[in-house]
Amino acid sequence: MRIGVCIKEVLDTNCSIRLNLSNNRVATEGQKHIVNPYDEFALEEALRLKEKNSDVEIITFTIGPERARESIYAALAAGADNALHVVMEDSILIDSLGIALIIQKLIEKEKIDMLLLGEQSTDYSSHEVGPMVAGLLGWAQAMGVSKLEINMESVLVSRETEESNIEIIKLNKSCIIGVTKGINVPRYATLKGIMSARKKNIIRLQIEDLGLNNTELTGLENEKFFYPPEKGNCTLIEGDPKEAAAELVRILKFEERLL
Amino acid sequence: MNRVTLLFLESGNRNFKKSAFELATIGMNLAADCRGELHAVIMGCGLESKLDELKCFGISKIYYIESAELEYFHVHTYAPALFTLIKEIQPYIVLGMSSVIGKDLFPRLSAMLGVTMVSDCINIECNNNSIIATRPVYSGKVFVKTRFTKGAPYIATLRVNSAEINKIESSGFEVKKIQFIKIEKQQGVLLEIKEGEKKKIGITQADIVVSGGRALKNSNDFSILYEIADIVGGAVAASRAAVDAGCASYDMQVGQTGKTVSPKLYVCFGISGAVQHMAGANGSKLIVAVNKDPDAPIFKYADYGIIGDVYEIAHEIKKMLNS
Repeated sequence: MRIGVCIKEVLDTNCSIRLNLSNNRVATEGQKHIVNPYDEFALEEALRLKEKNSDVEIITFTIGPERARESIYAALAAGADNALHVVMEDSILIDSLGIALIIQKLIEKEKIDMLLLGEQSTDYSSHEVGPMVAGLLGWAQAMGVSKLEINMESVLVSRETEESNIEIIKLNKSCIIGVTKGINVPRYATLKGIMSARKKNIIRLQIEDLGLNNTELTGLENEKFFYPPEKGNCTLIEGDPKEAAAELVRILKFEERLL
Repeated sequence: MNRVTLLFLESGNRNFKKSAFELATIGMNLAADCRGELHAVIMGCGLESKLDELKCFGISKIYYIESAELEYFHVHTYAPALFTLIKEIQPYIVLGMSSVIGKDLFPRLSAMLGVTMVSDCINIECNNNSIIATRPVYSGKVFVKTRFTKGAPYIATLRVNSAEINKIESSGFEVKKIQFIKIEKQQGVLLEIKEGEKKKIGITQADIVVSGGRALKNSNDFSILYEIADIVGGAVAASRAAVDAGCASYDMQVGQTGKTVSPKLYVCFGISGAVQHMAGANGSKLIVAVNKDPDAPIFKYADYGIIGDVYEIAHEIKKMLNS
């Protein structure tokens, strides 16, 4: 069984965000990048499937600049078998549909049976790519998955609803699974894994190799990035706990009228 | 050319969700900007008697797809039916919410239609024939205004709890009932819904959220938050640190890798205010912080703050609310 896993490289969440002069791009040069934590959950889930079934082969997909190789090696070190890298500079404009188109082509090219990915990435948090790939392929999808089981004819998943209920869903085996935090705890790569990762082959591709061109990659243009307005000063409520509590409740009831 | 803005209004348990009225308000303004009509599509069952609740938003036509099969949302049931409707009526704009339902449905739908979309917007406008959406990115550290560059339909989802509900004078609409045609071989099937352990308001739906951090050392300390939430009719949430320490369950976690809440009031006890937590909470209308540490970053986000022992202050607040 060939399982595809998306490995996206994102800015470390502790980085402060800097903009270019025209304020229409986020500056990424020289900033620390990490593997999208949600994709790490996806890879771990694939590795667990492989432990249960030696027939499983794990192929990672990464779209990004040369710098993304570090993230790819991390995935190979954890136990992925092969990696595809669609090499693309940060400066190329691409939206979620463009990403989904590339992943669709990779799935078809690599004859992937099932795709695992994070339900979101921590930079744009769009939650779009997974269902878009499913829509392009006409495959089954499940997002926010916290439990995954594969049996002979189908896939069984659990995921949480808005009302904090749990849905149990049965899917066709050709499916796109977007995992959420809590599904597993990703393993650390072993030294053996790290050493052997460098010997594994990363297949490099350009979008033209997949029959795509730049104009298909985006239907959006970012006009302007801006920082949120500075919050006004915090009003500190003085006094001992009893006095401060009384004053807070008074403010919330009679001034803010929220209680 | 008739520029129709089509709203997907969410319902559940035979009632419209609160987000339906928020979206109707947003749609009303956008349709006016576009100088076009406002239509809505509703999928579910038993909603016929509730349609009148939608009369004050300038909606001129409602498509109602009714079937017992649609009582519970499932993407593989809903998506094909909505796709068929959109292909037929060719709206200019399609709007939904970036709820659990919206995140399942709209990206799949966009891809089926061959168009892009923008998710989780806090604003959408029509400016000189350009549709521009504004949304937070990078944990809310920065916002971006994005313009659609290709053709219609323009698809976007709106952040929950980001708009006030505003009504105008009541006006009638045409209701068109659409027959639901179930696909023979669905890609997926909803087998079962297990109700959550506690019957509680979801934190993403609540108007008041009371949140606890690691300073509340164990789940016993969290019980004071439940007591406060009960009195004010709110929901209890937690920071990642509290969840990791076992004081609260993961479904209560607010933050970048948890849920995004935007209540009218967010009261946090012993939460330091790290960027990753505030990414899930900074949409709150009013933030109150109680923390022992005067240098905690939370005070940069809070409107009101109390510096002191979190546990003691929580108890005093509960006493005051009870009196």
